[in-house]
Amino acid sequence: MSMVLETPTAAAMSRTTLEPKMVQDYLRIPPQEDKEFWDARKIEHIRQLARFGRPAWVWDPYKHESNRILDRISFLAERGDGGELGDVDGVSTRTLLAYGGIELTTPIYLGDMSFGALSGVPNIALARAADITGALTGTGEGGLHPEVRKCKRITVQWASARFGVDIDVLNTGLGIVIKIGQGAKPGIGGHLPGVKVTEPISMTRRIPVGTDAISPAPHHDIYSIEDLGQRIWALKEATGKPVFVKVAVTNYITYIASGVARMGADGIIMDGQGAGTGATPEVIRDNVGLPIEIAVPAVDRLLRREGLRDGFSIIAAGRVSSAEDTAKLIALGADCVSIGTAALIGMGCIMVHRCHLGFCPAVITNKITENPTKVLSLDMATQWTVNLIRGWTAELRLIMDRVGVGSIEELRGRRELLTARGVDEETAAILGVEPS
Amino acid sequence: METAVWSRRRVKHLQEMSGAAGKTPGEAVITSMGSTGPPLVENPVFITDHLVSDGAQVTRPSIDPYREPIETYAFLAGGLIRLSLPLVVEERPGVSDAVVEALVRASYNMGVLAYLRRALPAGLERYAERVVVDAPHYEDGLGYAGVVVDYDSLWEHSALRRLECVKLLRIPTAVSHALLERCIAAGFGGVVIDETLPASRESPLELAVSDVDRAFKSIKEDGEPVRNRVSVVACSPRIRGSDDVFKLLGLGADCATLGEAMLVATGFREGRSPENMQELMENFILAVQKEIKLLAGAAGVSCVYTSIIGNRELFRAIRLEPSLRRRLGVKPAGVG
Repeated sequence: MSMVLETPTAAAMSRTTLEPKMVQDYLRIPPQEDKEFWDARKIEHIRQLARFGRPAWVWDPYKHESNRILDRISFLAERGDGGELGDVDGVSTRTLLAYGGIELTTPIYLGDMSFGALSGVPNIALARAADITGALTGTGEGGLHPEVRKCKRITVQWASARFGVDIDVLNTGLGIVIKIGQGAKPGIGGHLPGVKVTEPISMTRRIPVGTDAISPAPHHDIYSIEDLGQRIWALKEATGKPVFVKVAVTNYITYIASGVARMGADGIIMDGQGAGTGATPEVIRDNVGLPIEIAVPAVDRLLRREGLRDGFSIIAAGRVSSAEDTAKLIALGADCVSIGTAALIGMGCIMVHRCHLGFCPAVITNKITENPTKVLSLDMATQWTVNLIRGWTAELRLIMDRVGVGSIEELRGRRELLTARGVDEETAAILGVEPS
Repeated sequence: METAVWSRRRVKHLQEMSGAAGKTPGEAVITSMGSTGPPLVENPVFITDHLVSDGAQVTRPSIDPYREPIETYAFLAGGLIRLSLPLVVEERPGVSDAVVEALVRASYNMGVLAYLRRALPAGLERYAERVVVDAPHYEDGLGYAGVVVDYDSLWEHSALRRLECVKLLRIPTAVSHALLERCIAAGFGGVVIDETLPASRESPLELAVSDVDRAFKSIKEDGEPVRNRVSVVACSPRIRGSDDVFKLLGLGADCATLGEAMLVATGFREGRSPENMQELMENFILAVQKEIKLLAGAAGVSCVYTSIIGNRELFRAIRLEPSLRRRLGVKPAGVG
């Protein structure tokens, strides 16, 4: 579809404000001046999945060009281009989370992105796409958009500022996420710049228009594992819902995960270095936090050793860019992955890193105003996200078939199916993967 | 001017700190979406690019610098010099007297040290208490905070022994234990590890900082380690910002120099020489303090001087050559 302006109708001309332009196609990908993980090839691959809902390849042919550790890991079964892209029999991507309390059709959790960081339409599209496909979506800090609230397959977030949290919100959805940290700003609270706190966000978060919403770095009622345990059980008492704890991947992640599991949470969302955000201090984003591929095997091993792994969920987040990443993280020990940036790219994000300024060229993270000049088409954004999940899942099924596993349980923690090239022995030992 | 050290992204970051670019001078720089930094996206250039600092969560709380106090003071030479921030602003080659004047005034106003490679320009004498100067330009009676003596002229400066000001010895990154012991015996209050000295080619600054910190902990005087009265200053034009400073502190430096980075921040290295140079420098130093507070607070640390310096456990290494990693005393990522 072309991006030409619609011819104004007589009715539109007579109104004082023009109808906003409906965005329903992708922008051209601008040249990237700085080195970027989400390069044009990754964006194109995601767009292909989102346009057609069908697999684009089995194995990522470009992964070895990246500096990421996960890209040094491959399945031993990888041969050539992986062959035909037709559907396969005998493979199920059904995923159970939270001791069987939540069933997903595919191991995909759409990352916790707030109403405020995103401009409304993307929040609704994510939640509707989860309902349509049987995935699950997080809703981030800051209260629920009324349309998101109508969706079933959502989790709600209990974060350090408690923005928008009341008992009705907590009772909405399939589970609750206690947000302790996130990969883009470990040790720092959520940050919504004042420029994006417009009237609707002011109402939802109950803060003055134009003021920064900076959530406290710690929860002031969670200074220890014991405190966390009390909050987990209070939320369970109040709602009867599964409780997940979201943390950034930091130096002591194994002890943190062990404590989270020991205190009765149903799962942990571990958000690695490189994860996206609407706003973060650059010095924190670039210098704090470890990659998810280091955390997943270390945590999986420790929880197994402690007898805490069965039924407890590990959701892996941070630079999850493909079905192959998904399969590798599950083989390293995760149950499910969280997709944030990739989902935004599926809706048209071109990675210009301007979310904090409120002027998103793809109208995904722009500030919400009364008279926008253009808005993202909700139907299109929902369809793109549904297609993305379907195409991604289809690629995952192909990988599982080539690897020779029939289910997610059969793939989980199977580090012996992987090999690592170009990593030192120390790193290979931490990954639990044989170097090739 | 883009180079491997001064990437486009780094230059933009520094200039936003000073106010030479952007709209939030004196603040920690805000950005969005995932990291593009080294070593996992951009190629690593220095050891510091492989080090990751901790984020405190759950098992201990992080500290919120927007709402809670975090101390950034530092002491040099056993308390003879107090800094508001573990920072020395170093004069770089090729700058005019006007730039030096801005640098001296900004350092004085912000409570950090200026390190001059020339005599204090006339008319700035009242700022001498915040200035250390190279020995050939030292003048008695001006009230300098300290003097920096080259290691290869250590014995020519026996007269310096009598001076009241703090004496710092400039040493290369490759340094013998014997030289450090002579430095102690000669009454020096600290060393400036200068990565630009010809003898520094063999060894990176990070290793030298870590080794010298440990050497001073092992050298005893009346049964006590001399480390508490002998300071370690990490000095190199490639120290790129608050992240590098913070990591050098963690490896054992009491403070680090930012000279080139400040010139980049003001736009001077792009040929600009703005009239408000001093203001840009002060904004920059303030922003460095805010970023260091963010890093300390994220790690759950409320006092940089007591809890960051030499705290190698604060870091984990990603894709750093194992023998180098072991010598630094930093654990690999994934080890609790």
